[in-house]
Amino acid sequence: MNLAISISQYVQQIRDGVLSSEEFVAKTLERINKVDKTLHAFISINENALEQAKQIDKKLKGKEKLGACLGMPISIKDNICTKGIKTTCASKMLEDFVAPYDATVISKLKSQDAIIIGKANLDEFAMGSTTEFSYFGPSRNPWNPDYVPGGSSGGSGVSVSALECIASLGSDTGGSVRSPASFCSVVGLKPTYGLISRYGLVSFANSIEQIGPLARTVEDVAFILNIIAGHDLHDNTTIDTGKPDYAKDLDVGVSGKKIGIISEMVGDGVDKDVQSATKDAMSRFEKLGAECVSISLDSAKHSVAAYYTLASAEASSNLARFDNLRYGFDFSVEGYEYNQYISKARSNFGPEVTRRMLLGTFVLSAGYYGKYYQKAQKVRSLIKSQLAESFKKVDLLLAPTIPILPFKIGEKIDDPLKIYLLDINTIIANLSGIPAISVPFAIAKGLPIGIQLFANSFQEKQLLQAAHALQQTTNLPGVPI
Amino acid sequence: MVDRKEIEHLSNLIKIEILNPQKYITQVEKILNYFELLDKVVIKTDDLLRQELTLDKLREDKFVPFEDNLIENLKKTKENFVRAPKMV
Repeated sequence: MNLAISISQYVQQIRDGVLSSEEFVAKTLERINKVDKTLHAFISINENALEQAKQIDKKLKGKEKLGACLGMPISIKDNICTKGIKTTCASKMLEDFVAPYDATVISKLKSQDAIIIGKANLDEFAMGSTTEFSYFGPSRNPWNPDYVPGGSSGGSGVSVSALECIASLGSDTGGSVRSPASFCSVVGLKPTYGLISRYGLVSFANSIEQIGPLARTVEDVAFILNIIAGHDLHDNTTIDTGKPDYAKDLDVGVSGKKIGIISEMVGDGVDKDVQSATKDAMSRFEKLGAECVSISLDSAKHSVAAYYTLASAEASSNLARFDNLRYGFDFSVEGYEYNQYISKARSNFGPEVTRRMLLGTFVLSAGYYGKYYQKAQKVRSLIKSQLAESFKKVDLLLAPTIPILPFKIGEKIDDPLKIYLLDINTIIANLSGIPAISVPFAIAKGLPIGIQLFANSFQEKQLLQAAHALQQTTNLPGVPI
Repeated sequence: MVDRKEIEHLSNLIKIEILNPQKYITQVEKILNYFELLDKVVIKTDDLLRQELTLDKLREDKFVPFEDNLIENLKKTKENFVRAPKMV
């Protein structure tokens, strides 16, 4: 049996009766058993997955009504709450936390008969770009296990790439869905802020983050987006968009579209192989009938400083809830004074989380607020208005997802600033709220390169159509593991 | 700019026991130096990003019971109380 099938192939085979959910889930679990000792995409596995698959097959045989997912195995980033399965955020702080409820995205997937196969590894509380900051140890790139898989949704990217599930949900605060998508050669979408409910996503930076799907094809991403998008009473930042069908008319092409290449993202500091892949992507779009022009977005060079100021500020405030009374690490209160007790508990945060809390508190403190936080908010406005101007001239924007190729585990871990700068091409979408997608495009030196497309807010349909057109021009090898 | 005293003050504010402050001093200082970039940006307007929210989709003002008994999920309980450390 082939695990490397798309969602539409899976659905077809189940409908035709040539495949059962039980067979597919069993084979997937076998695959996880085989490769995950090396890759470490998962923090926990759903022990009831096989039983749930059997139930779905039974319903199918009994001609009962079934949801669109028909028992397909999906992995979930471990900062999204799942009732009955641990949600650890890859932190020692929450190593035994089981949420008493499902996130809205999980309820939606379950109502469509998806099977949560397991919880995927991440950088602690989604803070990182390599998955090396997980308390449970790093995930490894299936294209070369000595290399990082990107992050923070590294486990999600690895599990989709290495055929340990059919699709995954990640969360994208500064590029955390698109980075592992690029480094692991899968598709990853950061939707418009407000398109998907964040209810049940453990908060890191509320004004910036979004849940997003990862899958092997653009078509599969559109399928998942159809299920999880939409207004939610539990999240007042969600917007009612009237439920467009993202999977419909995916193949309309890009003829007559105008695509802007962000000049600041293809110049100095970009790896040669990444540069040539970007040029190649442009010429393929031109062959498909699109017009490519150069667009300058000079505020982009300040995006990393603005983003890390704002995200750290929001993180330091969000993580204040880990006071060991509402949430936190379980140990006895005997012999501790209140402040001492909380400090002791919070010493269980890993180094990157501690760093962000220090930074966030610093930029918000009296005397520095105007210099950092307020200035960063203004830069955020500037980025947003420059993007709005750009979208008056072009339909889509293009840039490499990450300026460099995947690198070795441990190579940058002692220099947090170097890791922050990896996000330079992805952050503008988070600060402005616009959607962006990473499409697997090339392999250089045995390592994947992703191309990123941006569209204006709530233009996911147009974005997916262009991404689909680009993916159709590629013929990439299968994952080597 | 960032010295041991500053890191200790911040760690006190966020109530985290930092066992190795030296490690954080260099890193946080380097990052803050990079943030200085923000100071050089020329912004002509004083306008901050405004988020427009439509308020026609608020839920009905009706009590919806949570399906689970949340109290049972708490660990440090004595009857229905949470045991907190001493405040002195």
